[in-house]
Amino acid sequence: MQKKHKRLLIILSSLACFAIAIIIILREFERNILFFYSPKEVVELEIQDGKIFRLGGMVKEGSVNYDASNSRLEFIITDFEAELSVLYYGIKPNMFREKQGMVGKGRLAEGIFIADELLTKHDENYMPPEVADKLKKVDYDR
Amino acid sequence: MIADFGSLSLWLICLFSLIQFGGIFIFRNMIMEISKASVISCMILSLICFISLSYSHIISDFSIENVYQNSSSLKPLIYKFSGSWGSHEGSMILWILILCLFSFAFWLLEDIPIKAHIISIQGLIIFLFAIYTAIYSSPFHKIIPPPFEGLGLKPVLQDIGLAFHPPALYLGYLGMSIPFSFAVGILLSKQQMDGWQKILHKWVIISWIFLTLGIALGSWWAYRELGWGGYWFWDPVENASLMPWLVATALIHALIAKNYHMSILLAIMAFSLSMIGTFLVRSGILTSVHSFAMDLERGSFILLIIMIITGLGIFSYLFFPPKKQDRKISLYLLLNNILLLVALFTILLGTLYPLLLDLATGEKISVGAPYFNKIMGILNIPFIALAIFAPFFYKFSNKSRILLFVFSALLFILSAIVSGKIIAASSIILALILILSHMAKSSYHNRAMLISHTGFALIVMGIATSSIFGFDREFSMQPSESREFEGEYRLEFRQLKQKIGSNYIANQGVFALWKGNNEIAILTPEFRFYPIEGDTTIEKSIDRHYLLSDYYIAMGEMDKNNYSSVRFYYRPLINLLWIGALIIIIGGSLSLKRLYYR
Repeated sequence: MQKKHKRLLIILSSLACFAIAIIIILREFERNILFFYSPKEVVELEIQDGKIFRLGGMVKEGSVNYDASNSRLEFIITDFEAELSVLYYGIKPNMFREKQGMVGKGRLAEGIFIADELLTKHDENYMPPEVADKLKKVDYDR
Repeated sequence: MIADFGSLSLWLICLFSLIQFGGIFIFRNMIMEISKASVISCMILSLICFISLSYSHIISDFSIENVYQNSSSLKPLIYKFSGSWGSHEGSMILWILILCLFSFAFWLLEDIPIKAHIISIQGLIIFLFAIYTAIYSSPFHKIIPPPFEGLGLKPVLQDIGLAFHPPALYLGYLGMSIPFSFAVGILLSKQQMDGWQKILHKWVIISWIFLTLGIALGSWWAYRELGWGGYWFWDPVENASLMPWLVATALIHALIAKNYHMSILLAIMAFSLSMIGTFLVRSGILTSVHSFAMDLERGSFILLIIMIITGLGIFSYLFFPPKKQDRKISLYLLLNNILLLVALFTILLGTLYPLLLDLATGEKISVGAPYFNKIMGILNIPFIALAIFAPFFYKFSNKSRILLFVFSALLFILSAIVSGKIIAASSIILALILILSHMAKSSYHNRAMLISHTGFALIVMGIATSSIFGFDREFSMQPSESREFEGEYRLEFRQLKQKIGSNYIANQGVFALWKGNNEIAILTPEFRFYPIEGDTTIEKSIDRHYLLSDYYIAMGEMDKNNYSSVRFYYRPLINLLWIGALIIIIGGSLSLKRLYYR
């Protein structure tokens, strides 16, 4: 093969590889985007059952119910405009407590949010920024 | 009083680093003396500053706000010391100390024509961070009257791995400032200097070793303290440390390939990414385990610093480009670097896109771990393949090279459609081949390379094996109960004990793990309560079986009926991860030794 043709082949095949790589990356990226909603948005946007998303808000005072014999944690998440019941099976996370910001990943099932994961922080005064942002839009008494 | 020393020394660092930066422009005939004086002054001052802060922490001087907010008198000594860098303000003091340390070390150990220029750029970097710390982030603010007791340190941070993760990581991040200043210095001075590549190489390896150590320590801590059996979550802040590491690795390969154009560019990128990493952690923009609770004003200042420094780098590269190099560039090392940059792009996209989207539209999204896992898993295969074959390529004929290339391309496309488990399994096989082929290589091959690549292969094996063959089980158990699972395993909750530590009280569960008729492990997880911090931790218990695989239990809070949630994890060959990281570091150290003696 002539040198010129060889070089062309190398360039074309490299471009092809790049294109394929970018396509694969972007496709996977799109598949894994998780949206974040506050309870009010869940209600307003009428999120479907079964769709995985992240839910954030404040753990409502007095709503926590932990049954260690079944590793079953129930509580209510609120943004002071709407509330959502949350159900989580597993060990109660370390930093989990009432009147504190919390983010969970999971899906809706008949009006209850079933969480696969609860996000914990290493700062007890921490309010996840997304939650803080959404709460800022509501005037509430801390 | 000590706080005043600390505060004063901080402001003096601002002054001297400014002199370090600007002195060579003003006193053109005294640049060596100015470099020397300012570098030594900054070193001494930053030591005074750091010692003032740590000493105050160690003696529990609660008149200093930083000590009050992050320490308690009951805290064990080691965590009093490490707590001095546990907060944002305190960590900036460590940051400045390490920056001054690297500048001083470079001044002391290297003697090259552009030394003063490099020191000057370092001075600029130190000044920017010092002035930020002095104005927005000083840990020396006082509380009058002083409280009797402090608020303590979040218990989850009271761990030995975590105590030393920031210093190691900072040594890595800030070590990159030297290659950065070096690269910019080379570009701006337009000097033809012999052997500068070797010097750059040395300093890159030093930083890279620390960065590897820092990342490994963080991951090890996460596995033991919060992991739920996991060690990497593609958390934006973790990504922020991995990205400079990828660039540094590419840089090392570029230097080996003698591709100097690329080396200079990568040196600038590496430090820029290190600082972007800092910004991400501290700005309060991100939700993550690592995020320090912070306000946006500080974040904006750090962003400004990053823009100035990165801007300097880009400006130098664009307006003072390096001379053309006319030599053949190793194809395989180039390919390796292209792959590393693709990996970098992948992580960058997943980390920055949510941020930018939020800034632009206010919409909040996050990118799930499977995205990163899948792409990195796929990319891993060509990495290992290159490491196996590249040193042997000179033996292949042209025809077989083309065949190999086509075959690999097909494999690559195929790997995008198969399941994660198949990718993981193939990685294990390839990693094994890599290790075996490296052991068979003749001695004229670079031993440091063989060792580091072996470390990498071990990490791949650890990750892939634990993910394919590992499993989790969760139970609710009372003392005296047993649970059977996976056919042959039985977990027996023998008894519950109380344990008292220096600053905590704990429920400790004693568990026996049986496999068939053999008791293979005793595990003692704890649920700890820290009274001063008012907080709890779940301390896992890990049994390292044959030193490589882990049986691991976490026990949660006990309810009124004496039931505890117990989570059991089996992670085969997981310790290969940490062993592999150590081996990579050994390889790097060997490489450093070779650079010094040649």
